[in-house]
Amino acid sequence: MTITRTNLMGLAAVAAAFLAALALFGVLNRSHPAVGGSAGPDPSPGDVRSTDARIASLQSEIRAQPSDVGSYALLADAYLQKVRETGDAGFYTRAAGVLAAAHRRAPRESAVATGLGTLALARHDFRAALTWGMTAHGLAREVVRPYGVIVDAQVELGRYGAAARTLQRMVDLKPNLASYARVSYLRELHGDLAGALAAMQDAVAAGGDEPENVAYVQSLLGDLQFQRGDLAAARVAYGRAAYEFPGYAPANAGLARVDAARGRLGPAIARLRGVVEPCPST
Amino acid sequence: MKRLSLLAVLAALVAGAISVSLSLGSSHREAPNTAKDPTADDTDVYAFKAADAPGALTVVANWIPFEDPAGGPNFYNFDPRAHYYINVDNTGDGRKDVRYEFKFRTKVVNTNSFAFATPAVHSLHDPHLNVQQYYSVTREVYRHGRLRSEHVIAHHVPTVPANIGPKTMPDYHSLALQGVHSLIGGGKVFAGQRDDPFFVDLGTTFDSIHFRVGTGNQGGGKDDLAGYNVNSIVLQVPESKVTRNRTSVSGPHAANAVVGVWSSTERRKLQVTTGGAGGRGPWVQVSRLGNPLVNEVVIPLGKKDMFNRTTPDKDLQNYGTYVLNPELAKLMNALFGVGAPEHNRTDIVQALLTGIPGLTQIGKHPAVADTLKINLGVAPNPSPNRFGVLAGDNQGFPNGRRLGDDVVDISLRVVGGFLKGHKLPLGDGVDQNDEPFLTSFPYVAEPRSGFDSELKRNEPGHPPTPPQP
Repeated sequence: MTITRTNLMGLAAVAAAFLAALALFGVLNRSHPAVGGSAGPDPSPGDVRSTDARIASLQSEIRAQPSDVGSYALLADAYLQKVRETGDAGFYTRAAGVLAAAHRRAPRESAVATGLGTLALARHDFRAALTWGMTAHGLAREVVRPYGVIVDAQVELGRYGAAARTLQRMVDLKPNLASYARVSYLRELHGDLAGALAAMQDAVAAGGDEPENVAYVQSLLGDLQFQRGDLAAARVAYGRAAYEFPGYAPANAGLARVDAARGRLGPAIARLRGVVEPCPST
Repeated sequence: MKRLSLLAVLAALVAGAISVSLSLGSSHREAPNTAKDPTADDTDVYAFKAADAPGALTVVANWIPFEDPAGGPNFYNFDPRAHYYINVDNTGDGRKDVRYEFKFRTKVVNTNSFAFATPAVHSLHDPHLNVQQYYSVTREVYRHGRLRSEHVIAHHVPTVPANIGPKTMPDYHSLALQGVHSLIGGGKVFAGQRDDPFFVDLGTTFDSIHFRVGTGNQGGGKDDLAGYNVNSIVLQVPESKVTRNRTSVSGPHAANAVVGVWSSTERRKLQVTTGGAGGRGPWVQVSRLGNPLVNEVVIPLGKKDMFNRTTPDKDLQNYGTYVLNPELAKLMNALFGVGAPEHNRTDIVQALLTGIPGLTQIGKHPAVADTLKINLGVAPNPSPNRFGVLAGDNQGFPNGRRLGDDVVDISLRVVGGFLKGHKLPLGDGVDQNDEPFLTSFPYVAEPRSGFDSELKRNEPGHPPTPPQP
């Protein structure tokens, strides 16, 4: 085939379409931390995994490709992750804005419905969360994430039997941090502390992409050890969480509880000051 | 224990006075709900005949994508509660006939310390290496999908840790060599951190589809994976351990010459409500990978979870239509009318799933299965071409996959219609890995250290590669 200038453009587009598919996958599945930007080595390699870097990267992708709804859903996820890390509820508003825009563009996009469900959970609108979770599931029956939204909503609405059935399906389809941590909680609610502990250990071993997510399940492991009365194990779990994600409020609060339980009220008070002052809701 | 419990109850009563909710931002429980699962995530599989081991099959299987070398404090480990697999189909039915199972165990030397390692680590058993992982390898033999025998062929092998930096690990090279271990029955194994051998320009797409140079066939691209590491399992076994008749291969046309390879990861199901029994269910596959880019480019978003839990022998019924009628070809033509064939892409099915007759087809009636097929009768090529079979180099992808094969450029050209005579000079402008590969086992380059971390790399420009490379 002879290459003319016109079909050269076409060829570039072909390759670009292919790479767009690849890049979307990269963002979704290979957890690409920060794509794009100028050529050359990244000036701050230590930062590329941070949520802030991911937010900045997704914002520039959306500016470049305003029709890319997949990036909107990922940006909303990143904002919701930011709340997990900082407790700053202002990011809910930003997530809501991005999700509303995405929903207008693509009302039948499952990932957007999952995002709206997650946001509704965070805002304690559990009925709406359940509806969004069901919608997301209906739009993509083979995708596992909507099950997580449905389970959480069912638990909060007190529908424990339904929650257990949904969760059994979720963990059968995809045993990982997300489903193991939920199994632990359901078992804990049923009074099965040993079972809750075993499931949370599975969640910690599976690990995750976000340091905060790992610190979260380690902190919950600490809570379960604390409830069982194993203060030494609780302290190790909280300590690991605080090491994994420095300044993590649940970990520091847990360490304070262990201090208090051991009668070391001075250090406990000092730790709790460090938690409460930057983050009063904890 | 009893005394501890009593003390703890008292302590809990005291501590209960400090009412602390442990969730941020709201009072109910919100466990993370991310789809990302790096420790289970198969990123790439390579299968080739190494020049220094021509009588063996060498497989590199990678997990944990985008490891930032400086990504402390806990760095990257295999999941000790998952099972990792390298599978081999030697009958062509898409089912495993030989499977190598890797099970890891984590040992923390000092449980009072959270540090991954402290200066200076001189051996894989060094107490300064606080988090140590050991693994066993079990070889399983199946017939018609049923387990017939299993043997442990390596036990308590140390995993090579993340490369933190020269102060903590002054001689990482010799540390890594300690991770090379012989297998009972012949062959070698390695597990641990390596440089990610995959190379691709992803950034191009986000600048309003901006090709850096030409159609990506003249270099000039940016390797977005340069500088990132992965966790690799490298397995090298005598041909006779994987062929259908348990003998080595006499030549490329021998009946036992071709095998299909893929990696997979399994975790255990749990019984949600156990009545206090803490029930664990059977193992379930959570990730798999055979040919590069199939899950990335061919399988639609809504089916990726399903793809990861299903097995290759069911690929025709589950995903056949996505390969025969690739969405990407349709998109190309709708937008730009380049004449990429849209339907009945039996050429892609053959190249990746059923095998090329006379080269990578197993038997006479092979299943349509996403396994990486390699003809063990084709001798290693002393001067490999990155375009592999497309350039007449029959030792490269899609006959197996060598570390240096440019699967992005190859796939672009194949989707464009190369195998149907519609040859387009496509590429992503990145032609090679940032680090040279090793000439001996474990072949994959050493990981960049956290201290020396430098991410991404620019490919130098070069004269255009023609439509027929």
